[in-house]
Amino acid sequence: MPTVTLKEVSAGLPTTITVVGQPRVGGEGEVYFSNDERYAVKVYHPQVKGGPSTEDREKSLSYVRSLFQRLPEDQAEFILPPLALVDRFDGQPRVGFVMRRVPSEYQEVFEFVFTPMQAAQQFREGRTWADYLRVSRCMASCIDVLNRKGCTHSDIQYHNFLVHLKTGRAVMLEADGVVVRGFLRAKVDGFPGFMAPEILASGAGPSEKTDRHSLAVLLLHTLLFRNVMNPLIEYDTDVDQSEKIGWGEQAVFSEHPSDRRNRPSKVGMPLFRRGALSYHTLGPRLEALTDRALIEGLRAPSNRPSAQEWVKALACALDEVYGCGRCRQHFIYPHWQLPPERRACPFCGERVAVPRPVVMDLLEEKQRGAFQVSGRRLVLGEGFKVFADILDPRRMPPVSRQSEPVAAQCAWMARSNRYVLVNQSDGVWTSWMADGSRGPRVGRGESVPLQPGMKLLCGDGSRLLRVVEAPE
Amino acid sequence: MSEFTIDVQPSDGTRRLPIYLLLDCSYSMKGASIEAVERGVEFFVQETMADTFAKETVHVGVILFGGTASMATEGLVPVTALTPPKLTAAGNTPLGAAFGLLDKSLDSDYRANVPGQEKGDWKPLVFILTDGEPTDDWEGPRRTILARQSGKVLNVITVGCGPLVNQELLERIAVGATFQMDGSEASFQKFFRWVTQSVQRAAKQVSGEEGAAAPKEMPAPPEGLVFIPQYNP
Repeated sequence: MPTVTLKEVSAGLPTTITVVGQPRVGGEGEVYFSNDERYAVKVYHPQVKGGPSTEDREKSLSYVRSLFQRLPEDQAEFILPPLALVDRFDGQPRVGFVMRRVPSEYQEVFEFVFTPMQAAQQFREGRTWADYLRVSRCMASCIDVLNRKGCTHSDIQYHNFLVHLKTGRAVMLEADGVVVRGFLRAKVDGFPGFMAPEILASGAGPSEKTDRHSLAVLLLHTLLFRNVMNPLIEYDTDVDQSEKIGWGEQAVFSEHPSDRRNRPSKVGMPLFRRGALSYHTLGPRLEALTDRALIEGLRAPSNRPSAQEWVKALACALDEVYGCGRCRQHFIYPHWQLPPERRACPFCGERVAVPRPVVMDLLEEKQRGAFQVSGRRLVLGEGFKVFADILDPRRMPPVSRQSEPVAAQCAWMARSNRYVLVNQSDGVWTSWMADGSRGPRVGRGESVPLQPGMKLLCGDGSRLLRVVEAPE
Repeated sequence: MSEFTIDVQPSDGTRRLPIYLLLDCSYSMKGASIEAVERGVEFFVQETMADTFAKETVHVGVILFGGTASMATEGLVPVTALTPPKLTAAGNTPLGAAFGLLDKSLDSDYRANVPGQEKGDWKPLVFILTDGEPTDDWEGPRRTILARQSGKVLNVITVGCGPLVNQELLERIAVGATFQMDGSEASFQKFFRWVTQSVQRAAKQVSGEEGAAAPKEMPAPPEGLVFIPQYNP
C-alpha cells in the first residue's frame, strides 16, 4: 500500500496517508483513495511537453489551497480544494494534492439529466423535480463560492458536478483547475454544448463571463432535461464544423421569442406525454435570469447573471413548489398564469384541482413601517410548513431545512372552505384585513383564516406576508 | 407514482451515432464460431447500454450474410430496442449483397448532414466480420462503399476470421482498416470487446468527453488481430 507524504498540510490532516486499490487514471493524472476512505489523492502525470511546469503547478495548487483554507462550513461543502500538497508518493517526489473524498452515492449530474429518460428513471425511483431544483441551487452555490474568491472554473458542465439527488446536494470537481488570475491559464476552453458562443465564434478565452453562460446552460439542463442551446439544424456538411457554428456563431436559445430555429417541436407539452419542458414553467424570476443569460446576454456577456443571482432565485423557487394530484410530481405552481383555471402540471398536463393553494407575497421592511415587495412568493397548500427562515428578512432559504424550526403550518378547513395558518412559533402575530382594518392577533396554537388581500406580521422584524390568492 | 405511466422521449436535436454490424453467417461459421458471434452481439448491446451517452445515441443496423443477405434490424434501431438476433450458419457468403444492403441503408436510414436541414447523424462506424471467401459479385458493391468511405462519411473496419481466411483475398475485399484473426472463441470475444470499446470511444469523442484535442482514433486492436494492408486497384 503506497504511502503519501504531504506538505503544506491544512489543520486536522495527517502528514502521511496510505492509499489503497487501483487508481482511476485520467488525462492529467491518477486519483487514489486513502485507506480510511476520507481522502482522495490526485497525483499528476510527470510533466508533459507544453503542459504546466512542476513549479507552476505547485505554486498554483498552493495558492488555491490557501485561498479556500478557511471557508465557512456552508461554503466548504460545495468544493473540493487541495487540503495538502503531495511531497512524495511511495518515496518518489511527485506533484499532487489531497482532497476530501466524496461519498460514493454521489454521481455526475449528467447521469440524471442527459435526456428526459434519465430523469424519468429517477422519478420512478421516488425522486421528484424538487430534488433537481435543490441540486441546481447547490451547483450554482459551488460557482458562487469560487467567484467570491475571484476564481473562475472554465469547464462548467454536467460531468464536473457530483450530486446526491435524494438530499439535493452537489459538489464541484476540478477545483485544482480553477483559474486564478496571474496563475495557470485554463486547462481547456470548455465542454461542447456548454461553451459560451464567443469562445467558438471568435476564439475568446474562458472568463467569469463565459462561466456565466456555461452555468446558465447547466442549470437549465438540470431543470428541463435538455440543452436549451441545442442547435436543431445543420450548418455545414462537416459535422464538427456544423457543431462549431451551431453552438457558436449561429447560437440561439431554444425558446427565443422570435427566432424559432432551435425550438423543440413539443416544447410546453407535458413531459410525461412525450413533450418537452419549457423554461416558462420556472416562474418569472428564473425566466428573467434565463432571458438575461441566453437571450440578451448571449452576445452581450455583461448582461449574464452571476452565480449568486441564480443561487438566490433557485433557493426562493423552492417555496413556490406544489405537488400534482395525479402524477405526484412537483413543479413551480404557475401563479402567474391567468385565469387560475388554466394552471396545469407541466409533467402530466393535469389541471391543478381546487382548492388551489394560497399564494402570498413576502414583503420586507425598508423603513420603519414601510414594507416593500421582495419579489419572493410563497405557495401554501394543505399541511405546508412555513419555516423560520422564510420570515427572517436577514436569511435566505438554507440548503436543508431539516433542523429549521417551523413557524407556522397551513391547513384546509373543508367546513368553511378556507385555508388557515396556524401559529407554531412563540411570537404573537398581527394581522390586517384586505380593507386595512385590524384583524385578530394570533398567539401560539391559534389560527387565522387566509383571505385575499390580508396581511400578517409574524412578530417584530419579521417579513410581512400578504395573501395574493386564496379560495374565497 | 406507480399507477401513472411516464412516457418520455429524447430531446429534439440529439444526434444519433450509427453503428453497422455486417456479420458473416455462412456455413463456414457453423458451430462454435456462430455461437461466439451471437454472444458477441449480446455483449456489445449490454455494454453499450451501460454507458449513458452511448445508450441514448447509438443506433444499430445489423446485416447478416449467409446463403442470402438480409437486414436483421428495421434500418437503424436504438441500441435500447435492439434484440440480438438468433444466428444460424448456412449457405455461401454473399458479401456483395451485404455491401448492397449497407449502401441502401446508408441512403435511406442514415441522416446526412445537409446545411439548413434538420440535424443529421454522427459519422457511421461499420464493422464487417467475414470468413473472407465471398461467393457472389462483390467487387462493384465494394467500390460503392469505398467511394462513400473516401468521401469521409464513413469509418469501416473489416475483420477476416477463421482457419479458411485467405489473406490475399482479404486484401482485395478489404474496406477501411482490415485485420485477420483466427476462429477461436477467445478471438471472437476479443473482437467484440474491441468493437464495444471502439463504439464507446466514438461516443466519448462526439460527446466531447475526451476533449477536443483527443485523437480521433479507435482503441488499439487486441492481440491476435493482424493488420492487413489494403488493396487498392
